[in-house]
Amino acid sequence: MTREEYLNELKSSIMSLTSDEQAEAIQYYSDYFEEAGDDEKVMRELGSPEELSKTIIEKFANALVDTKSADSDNEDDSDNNDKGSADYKRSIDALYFEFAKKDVKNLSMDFGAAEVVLIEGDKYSIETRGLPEEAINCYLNKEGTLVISNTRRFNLNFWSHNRRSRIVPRVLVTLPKNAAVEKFRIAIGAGKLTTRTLSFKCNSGNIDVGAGNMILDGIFGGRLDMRCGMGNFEFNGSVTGLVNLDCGMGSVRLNLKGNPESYSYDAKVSLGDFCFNDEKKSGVCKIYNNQKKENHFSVNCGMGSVSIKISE
Amino acid sequence: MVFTAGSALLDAVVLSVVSLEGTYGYKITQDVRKIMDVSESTLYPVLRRLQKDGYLETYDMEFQGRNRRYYKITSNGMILLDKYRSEWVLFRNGVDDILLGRHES
Repeated sequence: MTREEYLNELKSSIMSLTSDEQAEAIQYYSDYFEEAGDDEKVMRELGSPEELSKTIIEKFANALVDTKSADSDNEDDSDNNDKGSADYKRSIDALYFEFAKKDVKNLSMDFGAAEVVLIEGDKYSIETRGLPEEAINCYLNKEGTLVISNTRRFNLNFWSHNRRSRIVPRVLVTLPKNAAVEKFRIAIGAGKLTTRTLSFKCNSGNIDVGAGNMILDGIFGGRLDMRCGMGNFEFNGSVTGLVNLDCGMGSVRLNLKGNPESYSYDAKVSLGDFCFNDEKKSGVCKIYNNQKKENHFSVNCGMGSVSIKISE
Repeated sequence: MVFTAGSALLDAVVLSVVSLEGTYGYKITQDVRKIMDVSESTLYPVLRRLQKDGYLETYDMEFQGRNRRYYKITSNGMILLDKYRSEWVLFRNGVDDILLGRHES
């Protein structure tokens, strides 16, 4: 292996670090080769690029986002501290943003391939680990929409199983207690999203689960559209109005609060299972309809399984 | 070496090596390895951490037609090093007392 090959391999093994951190490490080791002179000896002593990347990453990326207890920030001074714009606090490869509760009118989150935890606190805050700075967008736009998006669609390390050094980007999002927004959007690609019990309200929104896993607990909606591709989706909360629910090959379970009498559905079931309260419908290419009520589900269930339970 | 060095001692040695003169990654590694049994790959994370915490800073200087990155100690680094030095004296005296049977009068 030549020095260039070694450094290139090192570079691709530390992609989960921020770009600054990557550049620093590469600069350091190319200097190191230069000083030492004997490339082969240096490579022998440093070990394989893979091994070396582990030493580097362990030191910088191992501080995982822990589900930090929400009551650690109980003080009521949030509104004085927070200005409308994002507050950056930067440490090694971690990014942190925060926004005041009153400034956020809409919330749009798209996490791609990441591990995400939603908890409750006293303001909106976002903490990330293992995501390069240029891959995460986090800002409040003119309309008062807080946008959080991970633009890294595909993380090489994420898919590889034989690599001990793979780092899954982690995101911890705090939503203020009893927060309410107009529009709400949450999407996850191949990632995993879980929540501690929330008390979050929205007037309308959509939920999109690609190939991942999403558990939402405590979202109280008006009209929420839901789509689940190959993933698993579990939802505890409420929905009202006309709800479109699309389930490809995945599995969807809704446990809703409300009066079962005020909900109706129509369902297109191709090969999947559909269960509404205790009515079980399964079969091939069937269409079910019942009388439209004030709250209505329009379900398209491909090969997946959909279960809706409503109780007061 | 039969005795393993903890990370605080490694930090202290690195700070001390850098405090003597502006020096660079490869040389620091060689200097530290003269007295401690650490692998070549451990030094970069230590240097980077000390730099991030504000105990070391870097600057680039030309050397034989290319840029070489030098490290130097900051004033906070000096304070930390002094602390390590006095801690070390206490520790060393304690170990000497027991291990070499030297008794304080």
